[in-house]
Amino acid sequence: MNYRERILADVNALPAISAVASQMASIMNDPDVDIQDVVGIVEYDPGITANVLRLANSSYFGGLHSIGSIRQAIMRLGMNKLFDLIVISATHEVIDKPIAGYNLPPGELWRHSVAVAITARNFASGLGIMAEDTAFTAGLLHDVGKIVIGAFVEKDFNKINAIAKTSDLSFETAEREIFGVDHAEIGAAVLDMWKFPTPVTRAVRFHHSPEAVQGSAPEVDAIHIADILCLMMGIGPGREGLQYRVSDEILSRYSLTPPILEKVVSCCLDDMEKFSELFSLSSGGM
Amino acid sequence: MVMVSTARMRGNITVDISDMKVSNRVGDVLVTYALGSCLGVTMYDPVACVAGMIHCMLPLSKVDPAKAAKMPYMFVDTGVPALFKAISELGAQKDRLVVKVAGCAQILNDNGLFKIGQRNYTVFRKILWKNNILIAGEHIGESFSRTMFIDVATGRVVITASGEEIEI
Repeated sequence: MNYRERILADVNALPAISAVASQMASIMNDPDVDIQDVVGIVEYDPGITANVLRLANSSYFGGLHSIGSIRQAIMRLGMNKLFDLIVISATHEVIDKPIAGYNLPPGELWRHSVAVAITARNFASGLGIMAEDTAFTAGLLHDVGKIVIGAFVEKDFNKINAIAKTSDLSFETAEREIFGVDHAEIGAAVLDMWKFPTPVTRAVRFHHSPEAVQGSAPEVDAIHIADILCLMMGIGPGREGLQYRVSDEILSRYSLTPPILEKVVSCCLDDMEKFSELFSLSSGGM
Repeated sequence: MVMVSTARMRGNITVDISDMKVSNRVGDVLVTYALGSCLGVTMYDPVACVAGMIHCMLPLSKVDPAKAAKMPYMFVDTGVPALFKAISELGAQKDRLVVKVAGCAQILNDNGLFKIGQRNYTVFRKILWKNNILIAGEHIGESFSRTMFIDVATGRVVITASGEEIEI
């Protein structure tokens, strides 16, 4: 097997996501979904239910401390936010682990993922683009491919870094040069396996190359910008640092200016603070 | 035989993003992690044995004055004067200050819009110039993520980036 085949084979070795999350993922595209069916799916898992209610009452998602059931969570927050909460509960454990290759200590990929999710949502709502909910979920999962490809990056970091430096390539392009695949494509393969909706999978797949998407996909653009901003702010950069590129096409598509971007950044820390109550996240250092 | 210490510097006081810390306790080491385009500054008075460190995200507070009132260390133009003030209160004097800077990195195709790192550095230089202070050491730019330490006992400032350790 070549590198690409070996890495893709490792995707299948990842643990399955909770049945609640995969069932929810598969019904998220169904506009006629029945609330009672959703309540039944979620409440089947008491652990996820408890987590979802805890999150639903957090200051980031509502803060009223008055949501006592999954039905109330759906009524107050809506189906998309409920899905966000389920995804958070179902993926926290796997994303919270240390990531080899990129030298991310325990909790650091999670911190970066939460920051990108929050920043992408703020970016989408600030620009009035209709992608807030997908942006949050996709932001949370955008680097999930690093969990799989990290072991390969660890062995070949020097090779990847050398080719990135000598050929002036972004790190994910250098990954592709060496392995025939990068962490974004692997992330999309993971989400395919977990049966996530297409917009989320697509945003993860193209978060470093948003201009490659056919047609309009504002959630992809939001993740792209949010990821770059969070890396620049030092929220979860790995060993590869800031060796990434921003898409000029996306910058001009939204007429982005430094004050707009800086305002988005300045709001991120406050929101992380609200979110951190639940997972003992810190908004600073490793 | 001369013993060479290979022990890496370890911090016991963490300066978070948009945070500042000062200390005059010998034995303390201030540290800030993962400086990307953010600005990390250390100030040290060797006579008073006082050290300070700040980690600023953005150059100018005018982008969000309400946030600056709440979190002055987030911005270079409000944070760096606050650091001057805080170390002065511990006995540091401006004419003895040793000022060092790290961070201000950039992504590969920084086209102006994203030159936050460079603008952080420019605003910082302007503040130093107005105060008649020179930069004693720096490790800035490129695409590294850096960690910065200062040892209160000695004023040594060490940067780790890409697995290497450099004293500035």
